[in-house]
Amino acid sequence: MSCCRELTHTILLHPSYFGAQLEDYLRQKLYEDVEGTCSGKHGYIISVITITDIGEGKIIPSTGQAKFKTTYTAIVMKPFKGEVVDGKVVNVNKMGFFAMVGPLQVFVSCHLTQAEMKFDPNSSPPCYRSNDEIIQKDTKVRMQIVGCRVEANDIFAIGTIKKDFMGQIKED
Amino acid sequence: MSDQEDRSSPVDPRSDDERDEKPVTKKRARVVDPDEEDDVDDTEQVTKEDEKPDNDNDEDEDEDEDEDEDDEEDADEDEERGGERRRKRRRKQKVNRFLDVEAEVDDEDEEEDEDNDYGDVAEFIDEAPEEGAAQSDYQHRRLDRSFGRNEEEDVQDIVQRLKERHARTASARYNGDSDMVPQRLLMPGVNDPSLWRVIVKTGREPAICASIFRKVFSQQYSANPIEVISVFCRDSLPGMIFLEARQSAAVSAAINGIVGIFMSKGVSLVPIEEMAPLLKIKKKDVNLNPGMWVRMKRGKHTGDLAQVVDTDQITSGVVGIKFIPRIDLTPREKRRERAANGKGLGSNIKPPARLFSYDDVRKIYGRQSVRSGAQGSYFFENDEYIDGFCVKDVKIAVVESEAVNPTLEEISRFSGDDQSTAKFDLSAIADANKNLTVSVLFPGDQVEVYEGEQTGLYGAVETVTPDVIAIKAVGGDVHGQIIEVPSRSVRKRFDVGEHVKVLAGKNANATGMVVEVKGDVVTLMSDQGEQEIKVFSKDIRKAADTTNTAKQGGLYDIHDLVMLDSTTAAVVTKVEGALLRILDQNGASKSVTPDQVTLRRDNKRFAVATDSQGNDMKVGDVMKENEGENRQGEVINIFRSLFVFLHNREYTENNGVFVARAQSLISATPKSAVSDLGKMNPALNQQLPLGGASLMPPPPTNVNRNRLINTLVVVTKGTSKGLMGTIRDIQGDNARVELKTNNKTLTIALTSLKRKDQKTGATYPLEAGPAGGFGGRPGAGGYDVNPYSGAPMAGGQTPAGFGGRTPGARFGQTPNPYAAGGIGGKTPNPYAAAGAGGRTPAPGWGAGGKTPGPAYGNAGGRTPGWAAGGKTPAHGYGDGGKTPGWGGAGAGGGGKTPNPYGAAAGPSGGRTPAPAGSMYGVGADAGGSRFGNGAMTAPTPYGGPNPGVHSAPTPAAPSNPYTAPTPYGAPTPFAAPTPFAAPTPGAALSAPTPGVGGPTPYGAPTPFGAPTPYGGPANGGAPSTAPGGIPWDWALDFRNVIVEVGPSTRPGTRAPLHFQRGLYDGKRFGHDAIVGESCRCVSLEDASIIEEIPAEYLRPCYPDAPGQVVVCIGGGPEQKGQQRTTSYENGGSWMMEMEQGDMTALVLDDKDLCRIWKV
Repeated sequence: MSCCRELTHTILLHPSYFGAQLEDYLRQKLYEDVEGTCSGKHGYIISVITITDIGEGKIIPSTGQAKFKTTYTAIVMKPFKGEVVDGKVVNVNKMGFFAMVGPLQVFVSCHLTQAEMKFDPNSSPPCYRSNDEIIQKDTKVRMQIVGCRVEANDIFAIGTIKKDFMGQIKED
Repeated sequence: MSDQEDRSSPVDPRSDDERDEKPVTKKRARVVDPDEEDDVDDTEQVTKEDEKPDNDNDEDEDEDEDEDEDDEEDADEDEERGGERRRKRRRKQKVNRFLDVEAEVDDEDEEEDEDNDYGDVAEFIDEAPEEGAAQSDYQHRRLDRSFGRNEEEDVQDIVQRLKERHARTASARYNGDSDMVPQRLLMPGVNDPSLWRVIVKTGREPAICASIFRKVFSQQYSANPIEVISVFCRDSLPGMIFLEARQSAAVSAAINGIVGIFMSKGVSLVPIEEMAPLLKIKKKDVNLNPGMWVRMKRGKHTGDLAQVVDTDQITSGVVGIKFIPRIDLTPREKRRERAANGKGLGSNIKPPARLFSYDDVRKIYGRQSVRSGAQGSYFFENDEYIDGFCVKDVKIAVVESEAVNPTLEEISRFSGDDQSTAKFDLSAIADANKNLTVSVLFPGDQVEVYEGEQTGLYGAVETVTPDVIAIKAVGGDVHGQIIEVPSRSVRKRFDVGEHVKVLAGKNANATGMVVEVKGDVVTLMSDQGEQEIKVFSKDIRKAADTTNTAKQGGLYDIHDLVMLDSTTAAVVTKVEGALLRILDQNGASKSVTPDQVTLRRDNKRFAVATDSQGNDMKVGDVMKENEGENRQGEVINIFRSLFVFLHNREYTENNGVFVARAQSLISATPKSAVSDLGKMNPALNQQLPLGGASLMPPPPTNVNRNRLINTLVVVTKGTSKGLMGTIRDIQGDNARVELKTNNKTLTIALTSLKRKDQKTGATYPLEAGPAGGFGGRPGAGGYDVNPYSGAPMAGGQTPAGFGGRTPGARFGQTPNPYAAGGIGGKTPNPYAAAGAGGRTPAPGWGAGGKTPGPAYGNAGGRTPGWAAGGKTPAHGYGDGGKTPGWGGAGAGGGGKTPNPYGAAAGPSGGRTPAPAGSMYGVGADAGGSRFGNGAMTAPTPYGGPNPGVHSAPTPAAPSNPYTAPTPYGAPTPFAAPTPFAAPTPGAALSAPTPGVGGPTPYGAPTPFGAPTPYGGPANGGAPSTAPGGIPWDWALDFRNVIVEVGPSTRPGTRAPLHFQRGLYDGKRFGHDAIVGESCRCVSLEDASIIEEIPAEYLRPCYPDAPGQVVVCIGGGPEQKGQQRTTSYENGGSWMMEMEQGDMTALVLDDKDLCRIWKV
């Protein structure tokens, strides 16, 4: 699920950057630091929308560095159990397939596909095939997240397509 | 007796001989253990019979036999075991063998004391006469006769006698025919001897029993026999023995003095109702089914897994099993060798288990040792091998069917390969693993009831006891209730998608997410690699979804740096309740209590260390070891810049924390230095520092001087001075110059040559490189160069040489007054005045920081040559200096001179001084800034009143040469030559000076020429940032010019560096109007864009082609504001088209020019 969140980020600035462009540096640094990262608590930080407050620099004694506590609003994405997501298949193997939902990788095990869906290793590219569906690389699929593993800087999810209206999204 | 049961071999055929002994045993057994009697009897019968056939053949058998007989006797002696017992047995055995009667006597002796009082014991005595009577008819008849004879005897006596007799025989009969007797009648009662429990040393029970036994025996015929009926111990009750006696005194007597008995623990009576259970044998219901897993208990296969294949003969105690054989495949020679070494024939070496291979075995043991049977089976050493497995019928006793716990690994070995494991019916394994041992259950686990009336119920475990667990039910009618269920009937429950950790088995410690649950078997998708793992649900636990995200309270947290003592630091790797698991700087891991350590101040933000490549690392950097294990991890703490603690979740040891020396680390992910604002701005190393000077001079550059060949030059020194020529060759610092005049080729030092522009006739320094021979003082030059830029181009270099000389030449005459009069103090001023811009002076000062000091101190002698600051003014002052000099003013005169100028400065200098002052105010050097002000005023006036007052001709001479060079822009160089060139331009310019007219003739250009040179170096030094020698607010003086937007040039401004974040940087605008300090500008690209841009962001748009209409925005006052048209460009200078009144072509520096917008 994607949503906007107000987050903070602390930036340390070397004195050599103090100057007219200080704020530019801070902004640039903030973007570099947080965009595209993932934290277990908030999920993936997709993009910084606004910088609410660049913060008031405080000089740290003994180093001369300035510490800025920056407040910003960002679009974050965090998967939840039971959430239905659309993604694009990136890898297919005999155990199942991996799909990317934005930055999130979702694994759909072959156990979590319809029973009649079989792995076909001989086709190129390898795919899962059932009577009316073919899932191969770059197929768009809809799946439901059944579990998430959250690490300090990454999230993995397991999905299922063993439900109604799940599986390949057919574009007409 | 009971414990022996297992060892008996129930299969062996019976021998009839043994039967006779049976009644005896039976009777005895009954005495103490009526419950078990039947079992015992059966067993004994069987075992007895076992031994008979091969009695005496081998020791083992002998022992067995012993045991069996022992069993019989155990019945009497209530289970005595071990060596002692064996000895005793032997003794008895002898007796038994030869004297049956005495065997009975033995027992009688033992119990002789009780004989009189108690029926069961008395039977032995009573029976003898009875048996005798039964045996003899004669006696009966005699008895009858005696009855008849004694008819007159008292009837009551007879009745009494009969009663007694019958009572006794009755009890005897019951005993003799136990099969018919209800068990309850055999239970011990109050009349039976009591059982006493004595605590003894564990492990010595049998020995102690035997000691007591001997003691009782030895005293049985003494005056004080010990009245103990039996003594025994039970394997199941370690640390205690039991004695059967009527009084505790007898027990005390029996155990008194025997080592290993804890008298202090006392002797306690076993309650009657517990006596029978004490001796009860727990009957094992062996329940073997084909396909079931068992473990071998004996022989070289001990502990090996086996599978039941055949239970046809289960009733006879035999079961067919299949297992992986352990055949010793050591080559024969080696085995012989080993035997020779006294190591035995591999009896103590357990050969590895491997499937039977015909070829291998034949190779070692020979062809004839292996015989092939039906359907590909082989016979080898009496065992049958099918498909590599050994198939064998064994006694049930040698297999263990409980707590088998086969692992998936073992089973997969069994089924040959992993592939077939998939096909393997996991349910068989699951059955074996069914009994969820309580130890794997923890409160909070999700479990599911899979059998019994609560089937299907699930919930979280609340409490765990060995047999019963309480679960909080989820769903259904009982939702939320706590329900107790047998622990056997639950199994762990997992949902698809859960993150779990494997606790046991081959994949122990693996983590993964559940993708499928089928009964007991859970399929995981491993986190570590892309593979699936099948495990039993009992072997996994729910793992935290998140790692290390939950913060724990308390003083110490994971990854905190703590101090063990003042020199030893450690990092907390785990918080275990009240204990901290730490890893110290030496890599040792230990558990400590929080009071053993002190928390170190959090220095994560500041701690830095230097890695193996000299780069600094900080907390949070990803580093890699470049030696040892090459581990990689994120820095979590740094101690003393020496020990670096790192963490990597993938290592299990110490929860992923490890310690390394900073010197052995290397950055794993080279971070771009730019993105790390916590470190020195790398831009400062690459370009001119705006506020500070770098300390090191740039490396000397070798200029390719060959490019000077064919350059038109003029000789400025020596005998050929003034002659023109062309360089034909370069030899070191000398050039071969082909003179134009006499076609001679001379060798002349490069330092004595100047380049000459063929068209304009202007001269330039020969080359711009630092190696140029101008500066006799490379050191000084180095200093000067730096502030200007890394590019040692004209600007940078020139002033150095220049400075060096100019003052030398100039000041030579009038140094003192300046220094004394403080006019020298003004020296810096011109810089400001020149409007070199905020920047130019700044670096100049920075670099020359010291210069002014010595300069003044030295009375301006040569020192000014040091810095840009030093020299540049030299010019201005050269002139100014003269003026007063000429005027005959000493120090005082010098002092005065400025004053009037200052006055004059107001009007004529216009705004210039003001900004100059302000800029200096912000400058670092207060002294300089003040001087600057004064200086400012000084030059400005020059043009005006000064010349008038002072001798017109005098200044004219010096001024002229100045003017001349000035326009050539590169001015700086020019200034240098000035003295030398004095004659040259003098000739040329002498004309214009007067020509220009009366009012402005003399000095007018002169003073203004002075600032120009400053502009020169400024331009050369920082072309991009400092727009020529013009002030930052130049744009406020002009209109209708083309301007370019760029970074602010205003020194010390607080405004952002770029206008609108650089939106218009590099764009050209037409300057339309002045609004306060800003200019209204119209974009040349899109006329609709009209912006009010502060003047500080505007730079003039220089001419870039001939024929452009330009306005002069710098330069002298009489040039400033002039509108001209460009004609010819040479090295940054533009020659203007001739206009009316021009005596000579006007040449202006392009930095002083700005294109006009609307012509």
